[in-house]
Amino acid sequence: MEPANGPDPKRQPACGAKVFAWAGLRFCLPSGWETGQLEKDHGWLESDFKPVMEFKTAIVRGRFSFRRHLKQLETASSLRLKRVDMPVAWRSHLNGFHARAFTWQGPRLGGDGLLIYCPACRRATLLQFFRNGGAVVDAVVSVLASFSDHGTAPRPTLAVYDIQATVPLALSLKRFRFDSGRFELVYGDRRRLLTLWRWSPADAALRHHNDSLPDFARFNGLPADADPSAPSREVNQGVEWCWPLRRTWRNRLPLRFRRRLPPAAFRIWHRPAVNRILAVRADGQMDYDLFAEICRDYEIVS
Amino acid sequence: MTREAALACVPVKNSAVKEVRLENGLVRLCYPLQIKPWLAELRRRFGPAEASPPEKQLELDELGTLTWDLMDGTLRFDEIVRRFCRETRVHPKEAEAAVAQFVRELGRRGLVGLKPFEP
Repeated sequence: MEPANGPDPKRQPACGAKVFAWAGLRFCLPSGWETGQLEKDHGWLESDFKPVMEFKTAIVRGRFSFRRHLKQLETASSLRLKRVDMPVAWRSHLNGFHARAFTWQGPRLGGDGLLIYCPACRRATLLQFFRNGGAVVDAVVSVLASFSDHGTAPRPTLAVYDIQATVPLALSLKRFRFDSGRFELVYGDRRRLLTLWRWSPADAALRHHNDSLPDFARFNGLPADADPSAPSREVNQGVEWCWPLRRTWRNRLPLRFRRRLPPAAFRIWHRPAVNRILAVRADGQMDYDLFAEICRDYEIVS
Repeated sequence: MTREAALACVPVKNSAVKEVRLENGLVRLCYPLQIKPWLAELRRRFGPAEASPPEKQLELDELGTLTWDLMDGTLRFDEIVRRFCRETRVHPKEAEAAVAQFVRELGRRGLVGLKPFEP
């Protein structure tokens, strides 16, 4: 159970269910589970408005100690933890990981927990399952069977609420907002910025803009330096604008060696079947092909 | 109030609120304005004798109208969220946040209250 090389890097969630992917973690959501609340490295999953699982994850620098981390968890929260032997059904799904099981009891709720450490990517993950009538037991096995925290070609890298996207691992999540009706996620590195949006319900959003997607785009995501009257290109159920990259001191030198400048681009499209609007914007030195690939993979899942 | 307790409550409309159905199907709410007691006293003494109490109007958009219609005094908050979710096809978590915000805003204006569910 504790090999030196870590889990199989090609381990992929192989299930027919909805995939959950956030903060580098990926697993299949058991039936009826939905995304609850999300923070950058932390989140809750819910079922029928009740919490079913909480997770927290981080890359560990230096040596990892289960004892120290569990003690920290106990002192930092009002939970009472008790180390227990790893159930056999769980152990078989954690090949390649180092893991310890425990039970926890808070003031009102309790459940089972698991602290997982991956020696390959040095990521520690805390999973806490809530005991809500005992139905969670089967779900835990389903989560662990599909659990992965790194991979050679992880697809998707983002699967939360009803959206799913594959963003290059080199782009890190800078900021995000999940407001009711409007999602915005910004990824980037030193040279590039990628923004994903999702609006819902689309019919209500479009009604305020004469049912016109280009009109909606002008107030939502299309930047001021893009000329809205410039010819746009129709894509699958949507519209796309490209405009020349602004020559700033930061990108002048690398661009000098390129024959064709990568354009900044914005694509917005409507999914009437699910009543959603999706949009992607690329700023900085992002290749158009990569932008098009991200747009192709960005979808609504239900 | 915890989230669990709030979800189990029934939103109830204030009976003093008048509901006007507009031609486009949306709802306009007319409700008596709550004014401070000393202002009410001033108004009583120096205002017109037959003055009706001041009213305020609030026009709901289509999602607000849908939620208002769902609040029939019998449906629990979580059931309203489920039906809202079915009607608008939004994600359950978004539906919960949107309905909660709407009920909170109407509650702040005194248009709705929450009562415990009695089966």
